[in-house]
Order: sequence, then C-alpha cells, then structure tokens
Amino acid sequence: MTDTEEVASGASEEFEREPVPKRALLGFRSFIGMYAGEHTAGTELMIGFLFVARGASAADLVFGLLLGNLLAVLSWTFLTAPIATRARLTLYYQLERICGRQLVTLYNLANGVMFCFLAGAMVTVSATAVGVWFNIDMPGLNDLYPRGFGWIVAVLAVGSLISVVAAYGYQSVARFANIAAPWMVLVFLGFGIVAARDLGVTSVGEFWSVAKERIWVGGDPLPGQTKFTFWHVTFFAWFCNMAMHIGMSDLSILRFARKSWYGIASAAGMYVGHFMAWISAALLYSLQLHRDPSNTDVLPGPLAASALGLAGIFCVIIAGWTTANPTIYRAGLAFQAIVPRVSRFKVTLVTGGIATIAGLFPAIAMKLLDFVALYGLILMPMGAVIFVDFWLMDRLGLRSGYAAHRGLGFNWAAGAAWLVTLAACTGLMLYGGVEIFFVSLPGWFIAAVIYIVGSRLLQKPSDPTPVAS
Amino acid sequence: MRRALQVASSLALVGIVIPPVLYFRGDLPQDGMKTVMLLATILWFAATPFWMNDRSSK
Repeated sequence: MTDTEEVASGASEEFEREPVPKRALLGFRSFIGMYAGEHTAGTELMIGFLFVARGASAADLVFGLLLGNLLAVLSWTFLTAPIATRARLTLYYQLERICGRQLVTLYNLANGVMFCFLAGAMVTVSATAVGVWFNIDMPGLNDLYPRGFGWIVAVLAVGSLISVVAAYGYQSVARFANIAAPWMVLVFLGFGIVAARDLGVTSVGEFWSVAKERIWVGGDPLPGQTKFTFWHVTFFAWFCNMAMHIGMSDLSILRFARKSWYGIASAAGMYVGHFMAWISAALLYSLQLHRDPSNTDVLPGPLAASALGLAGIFCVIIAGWTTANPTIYRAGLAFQAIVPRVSRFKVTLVTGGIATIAGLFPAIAMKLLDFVALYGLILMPMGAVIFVDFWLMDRLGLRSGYAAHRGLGFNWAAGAAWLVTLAACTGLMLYGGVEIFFVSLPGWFIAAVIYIVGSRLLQKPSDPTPVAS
Repeated sequence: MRRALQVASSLALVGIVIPPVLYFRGDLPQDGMKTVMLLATILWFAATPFWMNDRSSK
C-alpha cells in the first residue's frame, strides 16, 4: 500500500469501535507521506493569493508562517498524538463514549456541513481552470454571487463530475491523489520559481529585497479585505487545521502511529504545503498585481496557465478535484451516520450536489481565510472536551467516558461546552472586537472549563469515583 | 519493467523541476519551459500509476 492508503484504509475501514491492535501500527514514513500529500491541495492556491490581498508584509508572512506552522506541528505532536497513541480509538468512537450518540450526531451534522462548503470552494477553484479554456466571465475578489451563465455551467459540470466520481469510485481517486502528490508539489514549486523570475528576481540572494518591495509590500489590504499582520498570519497558520489537531479529528489517523512523536510528521504537510505552496501561490498573485494593479481577481486557473501553461492548468484542476473528492466523501459519511438507512452512494451524491451549489457562490472561496477559521472554531470545543476527558477527569475525581458509563444519548456537560463556547466566541467577536482568527484560543479554555464544571454538576454522587492515576 | 517505469517517473519529476530553474536562470524561454513541463506531466501520469499501484498491491 502507498503511504496515504495505508493510513486511510485502516482509519476508515477497520477498528472503528475498538483500539488499533499492535499488528496494524504503521511506521513514521507512512505519516510523512500522508501529511505532505494532504496539505498540498487546491486550497493552498487560494490561501496564498488571499495573503497578498490582505496586505501582509514579507516579514509578517514568512516569519508568521514559520511560527504558526511550528505551533501547528507542536499541537499535533503534544495534543493529538499522545491521546491517539494511548487510546487508539477513532475520533467518533471516542466522542461517542464521552458525549453520547445524539450529541455525536449533531457534531457529525456540523462537520458534514462544513465539509460541504470546503468542497464547494474546491469546486470553485477547479472551475476557474475550466473557465480558462472556454473564456468564461469569472468572479472577482469581492463577488458573492455567481456571475453569468457560463460560470454556472462550468461549476455545475465540474461539481457534478466530482460528485459522481466521489459516489462511485472514492478509492480510485484516492489512489490517483497519491500518484499526483509528488508531481503536484513540484508544480507548486514551479509556480513560485517562475513567478519570482517574472517579478524581477534574478538570483536567490535578491529574493528578499524583491519580496519586500514588490511581492508582500504590506500597507493597506485590497478593497473589501481586512488587514493581515504577523499575528494574523501566525494564528491563521496555526489554526487553519485546528479541526484536525486541537479539534482532534486526526485521532482517527494518528491512532495507527507506533509512537506519539510521529505527530511531528505533520511538519511535512506544514512546511511543504502551508509554507512553500502558500508562498508560491502568493508569488503568482503578486505577479498579476504587479502587471496590472487593477486586476484583483483571485482566479487560480488563469494565473496557473500564464505561469506554467497546460501543466499549470492540470495542476489546478487536479488539486481542486483531489481535495474536493475526499471532502465530499467524508461529508457523505458524516451525513450517513445521521441517516444510516440511505445508501452511501445516494448520500454522497446529494452531498456533492450541496457542495456544487455552494461552489456556485464565489464568496466561500474568496473568503476562504475566514471560512477556514470558522471551520476550526466550530469543531474546536469538542477537542477541548476530549483533552479534558482524557487527561484531567480522573485527576479531578470525575469519570471519563461518562456517556458510555451511564448509557447517555446526550452528555449535557459536553453539549454545553460545545454550544456555550460557540456562543461565547460569537459574543467575543461581535462585542469584544476579537477577530475570528484569534478567538479560538480563549475559546479552547472556555470549553475546557465549561466541560469540567458541567461534569461536576452532571455526574451523580452515586457514580463510582475513579482512583486518581 | 518496474525499474524502467520508476526511471521514467524520476525523469518526469526532473522534467518538472528543471525547466522552471532554467527559465529562472534565463537559459530557457517560457514557451519551451511550458512544453517540457507538459511532456513531463504526461510522462509522470503514464508511468507512475503502474509501479505505484504495483507497490500498493503488495
């Protein structure tokens, strides 16, 4: 098996309600390959562009990405992996034991909806590449609604194709994604090298001075965008995969790791995908602005075509497709858990349909930075609940896995930790002036405290008190 | 056969990496770079699925 397949097949098909046995554990290399492939995707093109649109300076971007990605790697290594390699359970089973089946169903619904919108953004990205061929009038940076009949047809065609493939042949596309990954990483690198040359960089030593003067000049963001500083870049890089590390989604993946330090393999994804690929994409967009400051369109297809020709267009289509496909599939699985009687095929098709409709609206792709932050925020509180339940409950004289212990369908302590935290974070954003990129940090502590207090109130004195470990 | 396919894939990756570097150095025009990268892309997807899938079946 290839690296990603080894991890993915094990995570999705086996040991769903039992700890992973020793014989199924995987080596470090498996995780390096999986993380590098998964985090060099269609989204990187949009994110790199949007950093430029938000007026990040060169130093803010480079040092912010270095620090933010380091914090993300540390989160995987010290928050997710230690629990994953001790419990060796999927996120969903672990949550079900803590929260109860009904609350997990709600979580699945939220997860599925967010996956749908993310897949929609990827459909938008792929459609921009298709639009190059047919000279379609494409959306601008601040467009919220579909622009023109051609755009709608392009998105419907791409989205339908991706949905049908996701419903019929997820495994073959997953295999194709593995095959494409090394090629795609190098094409991303090519975007950066070519754009740097066209921006006037003629030697490696010149890069930094050109970067400060022509690429990430700082100053005001483009109209309609909010300003990004060093801290915005740092927190965005740290929290853009918050659902996976602090939110604990990757428990399902890292439970196959032999050692907990394998979480450091996430560095391959962060520094290839979320450093090199973002910088390459940013260079492409800077080149466009350098050539024509009035052209603020954030369209990966035309930019990739101008830099690398057909190879660039293929990269955008394949990057969008290979990201959207598993995302639609995962969203389908999340929804199917809610309606288990309906076949996975039908659920995935309907899910793909929703993603395609979402893809018609360029607002999601053009506001991808905010959407990704929102995605992490919504799923983060459950990560705090798992962390507290695993490490602190016994120490506090409370019972971990309370829903499983009492046969509860809905653990109100966990439910309150989730919903009250989201309400508190919304309040902080609306009335406290805290931006969405930062609010998840206090949010994690709020969720942890609410879960502890709620559990103290919920758990009955008749429950046998566990011995502190 | 497997070894030949792996060599072809390696050449394809070289064909993706080197042309942008040559363009950066001013040694290759942009059109030439795009052509070589397209050919390398075709070579990569023609050769790699066979040995990578072969590995995945083991």
